[in-house]
Amino acid sequence: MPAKRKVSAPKRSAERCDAPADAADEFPKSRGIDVPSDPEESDLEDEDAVDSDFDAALREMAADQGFDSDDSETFAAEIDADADEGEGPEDADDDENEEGSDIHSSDIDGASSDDSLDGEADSEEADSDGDEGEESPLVRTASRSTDGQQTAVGDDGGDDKLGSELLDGEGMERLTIEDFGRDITAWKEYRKTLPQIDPGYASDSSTEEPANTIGNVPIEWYADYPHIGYDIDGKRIMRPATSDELDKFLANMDDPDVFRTARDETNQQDIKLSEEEIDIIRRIQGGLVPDAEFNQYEDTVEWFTSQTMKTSLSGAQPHKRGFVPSKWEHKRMMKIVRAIRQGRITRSAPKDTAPKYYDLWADSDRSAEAGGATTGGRRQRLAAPKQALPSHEESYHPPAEYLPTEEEKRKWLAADPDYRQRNFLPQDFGSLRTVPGYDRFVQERFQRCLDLYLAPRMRKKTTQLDAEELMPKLPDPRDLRPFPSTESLVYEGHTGRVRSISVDPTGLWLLSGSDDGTVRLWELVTGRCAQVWNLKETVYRVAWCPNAEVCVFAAAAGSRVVLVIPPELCDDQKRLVSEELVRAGFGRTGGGDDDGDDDSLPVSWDMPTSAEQAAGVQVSISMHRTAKSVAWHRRGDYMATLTSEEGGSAVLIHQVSKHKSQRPFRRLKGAVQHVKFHPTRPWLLVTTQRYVRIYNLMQQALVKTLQPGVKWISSVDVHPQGDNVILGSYDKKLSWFDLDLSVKPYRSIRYHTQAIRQVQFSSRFPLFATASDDGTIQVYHGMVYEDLNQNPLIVPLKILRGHEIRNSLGVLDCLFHPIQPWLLSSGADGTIRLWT
Amino acid sequence: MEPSGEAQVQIRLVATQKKYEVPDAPLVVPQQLQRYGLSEIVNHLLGHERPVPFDFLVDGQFLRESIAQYLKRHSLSAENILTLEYVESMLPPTEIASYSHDDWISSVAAASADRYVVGSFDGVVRIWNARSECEGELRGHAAAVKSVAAVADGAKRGRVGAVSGSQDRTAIGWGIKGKQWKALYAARGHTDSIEAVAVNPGGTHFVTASADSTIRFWTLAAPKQSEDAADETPAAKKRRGGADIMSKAAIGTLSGHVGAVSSVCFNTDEESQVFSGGWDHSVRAWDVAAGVNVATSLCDKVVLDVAYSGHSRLLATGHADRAVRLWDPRAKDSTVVKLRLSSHTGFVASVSWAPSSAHMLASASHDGTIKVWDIRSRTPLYTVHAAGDSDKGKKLLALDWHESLLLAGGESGSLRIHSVNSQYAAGPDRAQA
Repeated sequence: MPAKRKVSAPKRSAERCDAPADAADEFPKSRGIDVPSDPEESDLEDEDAVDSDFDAALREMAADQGFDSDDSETFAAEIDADADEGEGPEDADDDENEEGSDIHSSDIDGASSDDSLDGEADSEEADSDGDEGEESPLVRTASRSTDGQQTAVGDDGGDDKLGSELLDGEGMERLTIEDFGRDITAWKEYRKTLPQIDPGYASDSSTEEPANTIGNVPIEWYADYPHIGYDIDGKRIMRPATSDELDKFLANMDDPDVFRTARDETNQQDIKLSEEEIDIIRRIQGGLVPDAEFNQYEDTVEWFTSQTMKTSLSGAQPHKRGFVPSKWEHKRMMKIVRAIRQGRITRSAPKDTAPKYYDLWADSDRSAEAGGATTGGRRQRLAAPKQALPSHEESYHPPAEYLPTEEEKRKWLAADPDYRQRNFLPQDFGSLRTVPGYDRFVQERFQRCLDLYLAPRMRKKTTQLDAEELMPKLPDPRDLRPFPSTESLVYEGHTGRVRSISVDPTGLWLLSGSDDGTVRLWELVTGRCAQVWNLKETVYRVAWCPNAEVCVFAAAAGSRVVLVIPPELCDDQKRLVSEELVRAGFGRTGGGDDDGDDDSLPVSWDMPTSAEQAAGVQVSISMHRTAKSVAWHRRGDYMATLTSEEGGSAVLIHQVSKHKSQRPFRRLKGAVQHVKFHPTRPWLLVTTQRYVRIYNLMQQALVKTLQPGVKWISSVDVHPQGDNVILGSYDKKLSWFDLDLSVKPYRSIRYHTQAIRQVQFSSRFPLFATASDDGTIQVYHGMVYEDLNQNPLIVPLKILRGHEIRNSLGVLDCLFHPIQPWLLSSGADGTIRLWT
Repeated sequence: MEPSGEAQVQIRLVATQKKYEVPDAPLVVPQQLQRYGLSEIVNHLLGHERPVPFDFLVDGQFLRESIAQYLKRHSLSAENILTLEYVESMLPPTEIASYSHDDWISSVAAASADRYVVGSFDGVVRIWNARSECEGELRGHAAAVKSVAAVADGAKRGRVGAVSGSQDRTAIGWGIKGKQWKALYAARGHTDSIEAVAVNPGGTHFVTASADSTIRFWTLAAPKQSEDAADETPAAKKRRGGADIMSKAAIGTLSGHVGAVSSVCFNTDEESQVFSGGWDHSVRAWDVAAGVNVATSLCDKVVLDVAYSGHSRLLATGHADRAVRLWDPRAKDSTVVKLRLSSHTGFVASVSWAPSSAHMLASASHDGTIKVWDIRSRTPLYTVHAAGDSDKGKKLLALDWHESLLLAGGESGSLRIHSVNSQYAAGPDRAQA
């Protein structure tokens, strides 16, 4: 009983041990069957609770110790296997515990243990253990180990060993799955498979109903009562009628089995012993093993191998100390850390891991793979060049005609080895056995190595590029007709450079201004010069008034701009309107000077001389400096002029109908090259050397500045729809701007070999042209789409050659016919040409 | 003549002209023969002592290559009999006269074999006769004369013999008045240069085409008194002042052209129909009586001259793209160009049909050449360099084919008169008829 208590009590976890202990104390007298039932149940519950706690603790510790979860798995599996593989080890452990507990109990109680009761308790414990074992082997072993700690302090050597074995980091690390598997197999070989014990009902006395439940009290205590005890239901068991001694004697005399009859005092019954039981008694009395069937000298079952297993199969729990980090190790580590920090330990220089010998071709394949030369991960080997089959010359015994003559031999020997046709001389050996060893083997092998070393390492993928494919996909110029392609007419008459040309709005008359001081009027289709005006100074610019209602042109000659109505060109009606426009301003006072703040304007509107008037010159606008450029507004009333003056007065805007001049800019940065009115908006494009500034004349504000990135802009033209600008420069570049897109060029084209002098859009066809000092005019297709998302299409169409280059000046001006797809150009050679 | 080539073909010769007929029997000739060889055969058959050159036609087209090449090109079998039609070759035009002018000749018109009207850029219309005499220098235009038209029987007293249109926007009718050519009237109304003048074959009306995109229709006869154009402004009238010649007003205005009208001609078969071509790339047919545009044909190129032939009933146009185009004005699909003749290297400034042939056509170009075409062949029959002195410019601007005379003038200022093989020109079609 005390042993039982001692055994069961430590199973409880420390925090819950009170209640069961009390419960056990409540039944000091009731010993045996009743007492252990309750505590055992509570024990089971407790152990369940312990299970999870312990498991967690175990994992934590395992983690602390540096085990992976995998390792702990292995650990659990190990123990699992232990539990599964049979009851033998358990029993052995139990025996061990038994001993421990016995010692303990004897220490405490000092009473001799009741063997039979102990055995009973043991068997019960074993049963319960078995039950638990099925549920959680870990718990069981854990509980046992706590057992061990509590009860048998001196006995934990084995556990320690196991723990150290299991948890020794290094030991663990050295273990492999293979080791483990090998151990298991070995152990299985050792294990003896015992037959299953079948507890038959007949042999099991425990199934018999114990009639009397009084327990282990002397029956004498009931001697005075009519009953001898109580049955399981608490009813009294009446004392059976006992015969007197005489009857007994007589009965004994009659009964042949009397010698095998024993008296059960508790139940007051006679029990007839069976033959086997008698045999057992006899064997006991004889000092033999009671069980006849028990083989006392059975072979040893080696539950644990005598060999030291790498993965010990002991179910013993590793000791807790194993989980605690070692203090000394920590100290040692810190020492090292300090040493590293203080720089006493330095990292050794990295070893030169480059192999002494390496694969010369290793890179080549990789780079080939990177280049996508391999297909499907396979290496692409360069096929060896095909060797020619050996010929008669290579024979050891060639026919005589293959043998070299003396002269050939001399020649061969004299020749540079690299330039020899063959690297050997045919020789006749007569028979194969006289053929000597190859004397140039080493040289050839060396040469071979050199060849390999110098051979290209990479298969170069030759790109099959068609020059056609690289060309931008442009439509065929033949599909973009009409455009000017041939020279049709030459207008000859000027004796100087023709600086400027202009076609009247009807497209029938051509005007040209030249360095010879004349302005000529040509009939466009015949090339007939209809009229000549001699203005005596270089005519920089001629410009027809774009208003089709009137017939007026402006010519900038020297320091004045004249407005001319060519006589006999228009009918009377038109002439009247034109004269009204041009001369009406004379009625006003003083021309442009009437505005007080514009006193400094260097302009005067004058009546020309009578000789000039006869020739049709109506108004002469005098300026201080040379007038370089004249540009009409599309309505034909305003005219912008540019003079060579510095500052803001260079650009002036004149209102023809009122003879009024204005100065739109007080100051102007840079040397202005050109002024031009925008064809659709109230904008003025002022071109300086580097930039094109677009001003809104209505709001008097700068709209934007185009930055072509060229050195010197020569000419600008605006697309008739107004959203695109082309720009030619003296550094040979043509730039196309999309005003909606950017102030940087949408496209820059450089086809001319000399400075571009003029760029022009066609007002009616999707064409533009550039005229250059290289004597050519280049015609482009420049389609601007209604769809704003579509970029303009620019296709070079034609190079027109014909103008001669004089003093490195080629074509000075070009102009599209207002109605036809014709181009007019004027050059330094004094001619004007019509291209159709 | 012995056939010498290895490949031979059977031919049958058919004469178009009665006087050159040969026996109708198939001949075996070498395939390598060309026009010259065939011509020799015909001359041999006819027994001519002086060989007459012949041209050969197969299926209405001139044979311009060897028979073998022809067969190959048309993938014909050499087994069949090839029918060759032959006509007397036209001889190259020969220059018979050259009349010099001070200024560029803008237009020329022959009233008869003895009277040629020449308009010049100096604003003077000159009347020449065949004896190189200038019958009259008609001054009256204030600007260059762009076009002249001659009336066949205009030499009679009181009748209008020539009409000239000028850049001064007037057309002047000229007639002999007291042995002198005088301006009978000035047709006013155009607001821009008159580019072309044409008189109807009956000599009763004329039309003018102007750069103001209209065509005006006028009676030829001189008016009894000055007529004022309906749309003439008083200012203009005042400006004109007391001009000593009578004004004439148009009886009809045809407007429909979008740009300048460059040329106009009458339909010689239908008196009331007029054809015009202009800068708007259109060739238009007009009914002048009704004043409506009957048909419009477009060709993408500027039309510089139109000419109608009563024989072939085709319209020929000269273009700025250096081509001569032939149109069938009766065709329903008006955009179809029947034939495009391109050989010139400059603007084709003037075209003129042979007055008596359905196939012959002459064109004068800025490249300084007159080309004579037979429309049965795509290549010109003859190219005549009529530019004259190279230093004065070579552009030809005017051409007229009157009977056997080919008159051309241009930048050089000289009127070149060429004689055309009149026999031929009159020949084949008359024979056919």
